[in-house]
Amino acid sequence: MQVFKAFLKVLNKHKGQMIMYVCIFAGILGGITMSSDKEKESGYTSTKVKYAVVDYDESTISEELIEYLSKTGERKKLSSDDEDLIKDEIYNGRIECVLRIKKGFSDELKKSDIDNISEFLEVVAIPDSMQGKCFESEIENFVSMYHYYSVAGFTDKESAKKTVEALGREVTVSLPDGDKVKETSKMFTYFKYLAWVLIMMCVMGVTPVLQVFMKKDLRNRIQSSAYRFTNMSREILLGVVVTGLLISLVILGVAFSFFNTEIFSAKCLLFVVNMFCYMMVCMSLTFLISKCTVNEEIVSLLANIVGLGMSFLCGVFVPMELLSEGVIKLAHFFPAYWYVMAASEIDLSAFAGIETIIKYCTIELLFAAAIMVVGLIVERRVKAA
Amino acid sequence: MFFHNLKYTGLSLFKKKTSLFWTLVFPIALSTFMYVAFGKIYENDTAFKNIEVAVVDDGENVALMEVLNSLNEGEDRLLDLRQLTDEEARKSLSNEEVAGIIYTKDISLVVRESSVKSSILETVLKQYKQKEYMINDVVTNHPEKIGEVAKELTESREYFKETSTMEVSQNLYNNYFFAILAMSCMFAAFSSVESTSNLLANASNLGMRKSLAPHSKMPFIVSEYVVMLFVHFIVEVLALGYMSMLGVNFGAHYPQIIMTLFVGCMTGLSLGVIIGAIPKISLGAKVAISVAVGMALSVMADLCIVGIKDLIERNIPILNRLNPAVLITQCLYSLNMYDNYDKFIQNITILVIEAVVLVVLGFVLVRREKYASV
Repeated sequence: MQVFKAFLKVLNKHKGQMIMYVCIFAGILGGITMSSDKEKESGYTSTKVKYAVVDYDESTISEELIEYLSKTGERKKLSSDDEDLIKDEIYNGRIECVLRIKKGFSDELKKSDIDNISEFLEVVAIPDSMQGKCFESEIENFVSMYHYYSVAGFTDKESAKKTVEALGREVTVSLPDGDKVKETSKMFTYFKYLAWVLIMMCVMGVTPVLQVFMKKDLRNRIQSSAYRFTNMSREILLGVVVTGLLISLVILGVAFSFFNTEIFSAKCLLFVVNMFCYMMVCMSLTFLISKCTVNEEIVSLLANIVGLGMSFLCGVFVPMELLSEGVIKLAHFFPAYWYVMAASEIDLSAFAGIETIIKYCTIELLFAAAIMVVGLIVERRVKAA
Repeated sequence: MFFHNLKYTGLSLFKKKTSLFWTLVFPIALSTFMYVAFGKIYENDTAFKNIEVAVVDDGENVALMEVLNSLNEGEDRLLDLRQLTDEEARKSLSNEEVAGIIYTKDISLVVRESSVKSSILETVLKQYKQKEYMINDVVTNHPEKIGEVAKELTESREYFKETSTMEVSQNLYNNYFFAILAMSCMFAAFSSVESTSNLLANASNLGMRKSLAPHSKMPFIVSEYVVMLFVHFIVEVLALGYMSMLGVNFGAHYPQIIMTLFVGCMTGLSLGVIIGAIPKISLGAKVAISVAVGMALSVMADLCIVGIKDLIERNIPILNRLNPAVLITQCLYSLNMYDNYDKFIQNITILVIEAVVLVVLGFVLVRREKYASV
């Protein structure tokens, strides 16, 4: 086990670098998990448009309109009616629409002819957005309803009262046969982002250790010894697996700080099994990359291209349901896709979906084996060269 | 001396074809992956499309069917109606072919999920019920006015003015592309880390030779910096051109965008000079530090999830004012979003100040390095 011992010595020498990567990525992972939404399971709830209102009219009718909108949407505060501020708020998604009620709105609405009412109401929204359509529809609903009652001969006070009454009519909305809408858990978010973090940690942290064995002089020395090539490869692979387990322990330690005793649940056990399978993929990838180049700069760029690229294409950074069919078909050729699919199945059905989970984990292990074989072939070629 | 070194630094840099290749491939490959992934996301997530809905009609609620059919007409129609049996409708819903099923019998709705589309369908039915209630109310209290109300119901009028937030792209996913350019600028640090190590006698053999030369170090430092700046700036401009060709909307202010990338490269390179000047650590460790710093700064600039930058802005805004990756993305964002240059000037000024301070600091750290003769 001389090569294995040498591997551990080199790993020990690079521990500072390793710890730095682990800390940085564990920090990023923690930040992302903390900022994710809480788990919830519920029936149908209507989507609330996030909006702000700037009321220059300050009349009873404008207040009624605002009151009605607050029932159908989620009102947000706007510190000032500033164009640039509104653009920032809408772009960053804090607000989806803004309604400006101009002075004279209530007087105009009380008239029998309200053809100029649009001069008093202004909606700022992303052009042709669903949220904008939804919000505008509610405004139109209130204003038109008030106008109908006004035309029907009701007094202003009665019209306002009747409008509120009429707009109180609801519709029964349900999910098929009592289905529940289940939102993803924090634990899922944590393990999903591991698809990116693990690749970065392994490739960036472990490759420098493996590259030491690719240095010409050391390689020649080992090759000229009586040590067999298969023994050397086997011990290096053992070293890689042990390093992977060490990194996994750190990941579990970070998970423990977030989820406490929840990590001892059956669901978490499945997440961990899935993580170990994916860890094998990451380690195989690390092995392959270390055989392809000895340049640290290129390793960093490769790690980022592979890690970020897979994350964008395989539903790590954006929900899978938003990706197009073509992208999802392409993602089938990447191990991260199967990892995310397995994590999603674990989150949704835990042990109830064990067959599917085993299938996905097996595919990950097959990817790991395939990449490892390519790595060994490259190593043979380098040796032959 | 300066031009001599400039020439040979340039030559040696261009001879490292693999490094040069990957430096160029990095932003191009990432933006391609992003474009492939995000090509249709904006349309799926935000942009309005007509809503596919199944209707199970028992033939008795003629008025509701008329309303639904009217929403199914024209090019900009709200609904894409499919009249189906209950079984067919449920099958279509589970196959995700329709967003919901409307039952005319009891005016109810079954949807697949809680979404904006579901809410719009709910609003359509709610409005029908509300108008039905209002008509009954008018018939009961003011039957003589029902004709006038009916006339108003058929009137088509504009109830509000819609103001677009801007004429240019509102696509939130552009942030990812801005962050890639910022990250690419930050990763320019790799080159300067290596070249700075090559100037230090305690870090490389080349550094020993250069330190022995009877010349000031300044021409070495400046010439290497100028060559690297030139190469990385060209790489960024090529990446920008490629992203524009893909269809990423950067707006129309290309001279200012190019200026931002130039200053961004300066900042990234200067960060690398400072990291490269850290004494007594290996080149590998220095590259590791520059990766960690570059990654952390880029993640904070919305590289992985859109919203982190905004979260920091609300809690620790000073971080966003200082983070060069955020400043680069903010420059690109402000050029795309605002009618004036106020925000751009504010961001680019901070970025230029940071770049100059880092350049001076980096040069000072490397320039006066002396070694005891023992």
